[in-house]
Amino acid sequence: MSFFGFETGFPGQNKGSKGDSRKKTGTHKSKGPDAAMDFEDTYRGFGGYEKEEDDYLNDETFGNTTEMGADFDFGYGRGELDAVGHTNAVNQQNINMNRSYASAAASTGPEASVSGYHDDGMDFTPMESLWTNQALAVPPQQYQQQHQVLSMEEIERLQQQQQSQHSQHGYVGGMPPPPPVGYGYPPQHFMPQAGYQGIPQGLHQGPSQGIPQGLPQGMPQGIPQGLPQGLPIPMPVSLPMPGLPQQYPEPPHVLQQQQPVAATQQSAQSSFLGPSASQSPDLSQLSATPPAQAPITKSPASSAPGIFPQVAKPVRSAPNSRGQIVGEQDSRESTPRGIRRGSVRKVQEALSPEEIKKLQVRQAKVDKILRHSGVMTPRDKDFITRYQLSQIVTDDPYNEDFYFQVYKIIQRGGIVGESNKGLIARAYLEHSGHRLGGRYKRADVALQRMQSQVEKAVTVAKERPHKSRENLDSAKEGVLGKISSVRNSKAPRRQLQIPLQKGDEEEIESSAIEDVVQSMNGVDLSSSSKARRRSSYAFRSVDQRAVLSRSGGRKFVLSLIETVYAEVLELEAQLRSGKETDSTALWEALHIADDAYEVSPFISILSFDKGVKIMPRIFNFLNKEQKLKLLYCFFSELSHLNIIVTSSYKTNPDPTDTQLKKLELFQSVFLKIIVSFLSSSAEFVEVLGLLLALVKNNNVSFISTSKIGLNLITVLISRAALIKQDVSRGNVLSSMEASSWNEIYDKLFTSLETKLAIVFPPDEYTSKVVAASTTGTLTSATTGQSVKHQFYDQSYIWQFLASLALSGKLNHQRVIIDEIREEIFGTISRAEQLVSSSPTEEQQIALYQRDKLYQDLNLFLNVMGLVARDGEISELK
Amino acid sequence: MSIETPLDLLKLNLDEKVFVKLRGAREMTGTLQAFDTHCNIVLSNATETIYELLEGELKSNTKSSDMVFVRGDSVTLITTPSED
Amino acid sequence: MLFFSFFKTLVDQEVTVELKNDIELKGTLKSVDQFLNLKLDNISCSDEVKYPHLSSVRNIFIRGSTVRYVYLDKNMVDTNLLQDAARREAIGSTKK
Repeated sequence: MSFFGFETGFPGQNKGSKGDSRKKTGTHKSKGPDAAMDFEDTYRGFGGYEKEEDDYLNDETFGNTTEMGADFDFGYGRGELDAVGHTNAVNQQNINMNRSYASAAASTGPEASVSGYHDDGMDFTPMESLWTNQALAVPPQQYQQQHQVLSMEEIERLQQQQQSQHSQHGYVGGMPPPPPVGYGYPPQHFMPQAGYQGIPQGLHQGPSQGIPQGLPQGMPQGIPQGLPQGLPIPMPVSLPMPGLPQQYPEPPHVLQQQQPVAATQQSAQSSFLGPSASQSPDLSQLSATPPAQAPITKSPASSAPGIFPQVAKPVRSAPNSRGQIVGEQDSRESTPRGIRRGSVRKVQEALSPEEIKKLQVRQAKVDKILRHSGVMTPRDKDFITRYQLSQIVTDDPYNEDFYFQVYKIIQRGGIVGESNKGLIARAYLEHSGHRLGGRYKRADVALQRMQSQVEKAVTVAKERPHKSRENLDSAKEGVLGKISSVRNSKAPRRQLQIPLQKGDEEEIESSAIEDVVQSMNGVDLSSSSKARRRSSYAFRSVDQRAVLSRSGGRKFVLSLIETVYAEVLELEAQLRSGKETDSTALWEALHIADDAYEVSPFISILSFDKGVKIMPRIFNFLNKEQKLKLLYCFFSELSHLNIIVTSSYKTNPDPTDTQLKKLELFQSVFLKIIVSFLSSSAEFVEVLGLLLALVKNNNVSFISTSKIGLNLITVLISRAALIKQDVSRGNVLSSMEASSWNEIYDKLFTSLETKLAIVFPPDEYTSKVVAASTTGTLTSATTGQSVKHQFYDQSYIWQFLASLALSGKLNHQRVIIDEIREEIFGTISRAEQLVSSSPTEEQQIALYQRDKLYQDLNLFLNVMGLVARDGEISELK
Repeated sequence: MSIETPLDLLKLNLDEKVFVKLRGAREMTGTLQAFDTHCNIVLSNATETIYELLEGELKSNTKSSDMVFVRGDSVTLITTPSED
Repeated sequence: MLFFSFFKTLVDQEVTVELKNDIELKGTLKSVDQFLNLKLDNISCSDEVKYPHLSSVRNIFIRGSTVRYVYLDKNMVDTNLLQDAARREAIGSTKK
């Protein structure tokens, strides 16, 4: 079969995966004309014995004396050869010597070799030695005499001769006559016929007698050359090709060309198969593919795999040179072989041991490289490469591997690697407001901040009573009963005698409010929307969907939120890359001033946790005017806010754990934004404007029944009070500002008056909240350490009352105290009871809780120059 | 945001409760934390319900987890939970 | 790439993998690739009695496609970041 002949041609080219299958295919093929390399074709029935009626050359190939069987060793050279005996060992060497660098480079070329054989002599003598263990008829030494160096002219001449020979024999069959010129020249390498023909023919000249039948067919061309004549038969080393170029005029071309080819082949195997195959034969022949590596030299690459693939390859090449090969496969082995060898050997003799060694090493490398070539198609490789590149080399690792990159940085709490990266990540952290959310958040941060704001205001206010104590005393006296003037707390407390008295009310009616609205920079809401909002007072359904349905429906709102996220992500990306950010699109996505719905979609956005969470990041990109508008909208429609509804004990007497968590989230995220905006950039008049929006458009007393609502009001009035105090120290409030403030405050107060006591949730509600929050992780409602001692944290209520009292006049304060008197004393008695009723082992906790109660209460009382301590109220020192 | 593809719908439900039907008579509800084009998802506070037919009777077992990654090839549908 | 990125952050953490054949394996995630194949170290099988053949195995490579669930600790996941990452991914995939 033809493929045996090829072996020589493809020394190092074993293509890992393909080789294996090819080899098998090869056997099959031998029985008929080469077929395309169809898997079905090649594998089906493999191992079975097909009828060979079509294979009229079979006998010539295999001889007809031996039964080959299905278990023929295609690997050749391993099992079979070893058994052959000493003489065969020589052959074996030859086989292994096939691997020259050049041939390796031409690796893909099996087919070529096939075609190359056409020109060889047509000796049809069956190579029985191949299949049996017969000793070789002719010892290898014979070849030595045959060597001969051919000149270009000679080669050509030979070729022509051969051509004529071919035609005589009728073997040329489908084969086009080889081009007369340029054998071995680069371009032609790619053409199967040209490439191989030229050279092999030249070699033909040599005497054909030497052809040993014993030589395995597989070794044909390449091997013979590999044997340097002068060298002792068992060649210790592989033969270098470098020597060849000098002696042969043509070889150099071949070699040079082939290397590139080999490279290309890897990436484009399929297409190149034909051409490359053709080259390899040339190479091996010309360059005297020398090395007898495998068995003998033990070079790494020479291992068995190498041999197999070679066998296989020829078959694969079939498609290209099919028709041509058919008849000739057999013929080539016979005559040409011996001749070629002889001629080549001489060349190799010239090589020094160093060179040989060098060659070996080189070849080993090539073998290694080529071992797995062809496993993947160029497209596969391309894909993998791109894939890998996309991970390794990316413009923005924060894009491609966003989660991992940022997560790692957050985890480490610092930046590892380039500072550049760190900056990016830090920017992300800052702008994503990450520290506000996630597991790092402190739920009560915002509250604390608000609290400190109130406390600060109260502290300032404390100074007042000292200046006018008399007035104060008399003012309080009637309200809380007679206040103990003895500062000693041990003095017995007098019974309170509270006169019935009520503060005067003033109806506020003024243009000052309008001034405030107008003076609010840029906060210009259309009158129609104002009307819309006013009309939608106090919507009191806990059902989130009811609210949502009035602002476009759940899906609509969700899609708004996602749009907002997309915009924010985009803006953050721009920021990271140092571009200018334009928040127009983001602003539009928020639908702040969208009058198309009964309730502003923005309010509904805040119904979702993710809508709340994104707010800090939104605020990073809004200008002050936009923020004001946003907050104006927010306060105007506060009654619709889902969180208000769910946090009011009136509308939602049975808060669930989930709802409480929402509430906490809202406080820790959105309330904080408001506090920081108000305290950092809002003008007095702007605070007034927001407060006005709240008071005018909402049912304030309803809002005050919710914790969130109360907190929001507290934030506004305490901020206003602080600014006022600040101003009174230095600057002066304009008369317009002062009067506006008074009017707005009065309006607020009016709406709360007579309902102030309802800011205190009923006990049933607070106990439920405590119960729900003990199951969860809420902290704001609990202070005690054991469940038993947990109680509803009312500090936010006292803060509200303190701020309210702070900004009010005496009559306001009197009204407040009057209305919540019960609560004041209730708190005091609770505080005292705590200590007296708790078992001794829990005294510490009880004391702590008592102090907490007093502390909260005193925040309020201090505003009026009072203090509660040890069960009684006394004047503040 | 315009909703053009089915996955856009899924995106709407990020950070929201979702109901997921899975191969092998399984269902899961939880808060959607992440998804991709293969319907791989991550749910937090997830509760899985596995239905079984034992002697003609439908039994169900539930299993909860704080955080779970669900491989997309098990997912048959994702929607918003019916009750809330 | 989102979940590849996601799982990379879980490397060296203890996870529980439930396979489609109901086997549950707990172990330290050692590596992951883009197919979400997983390599676990120090595995323990939650049901040794039922799957005794796994009792002597200490580390294991799991083909991604055989995974049904991976149970995680919620502290291993930054949910806000993860949601953002999912949004980016979604935006990215519609752009392409």
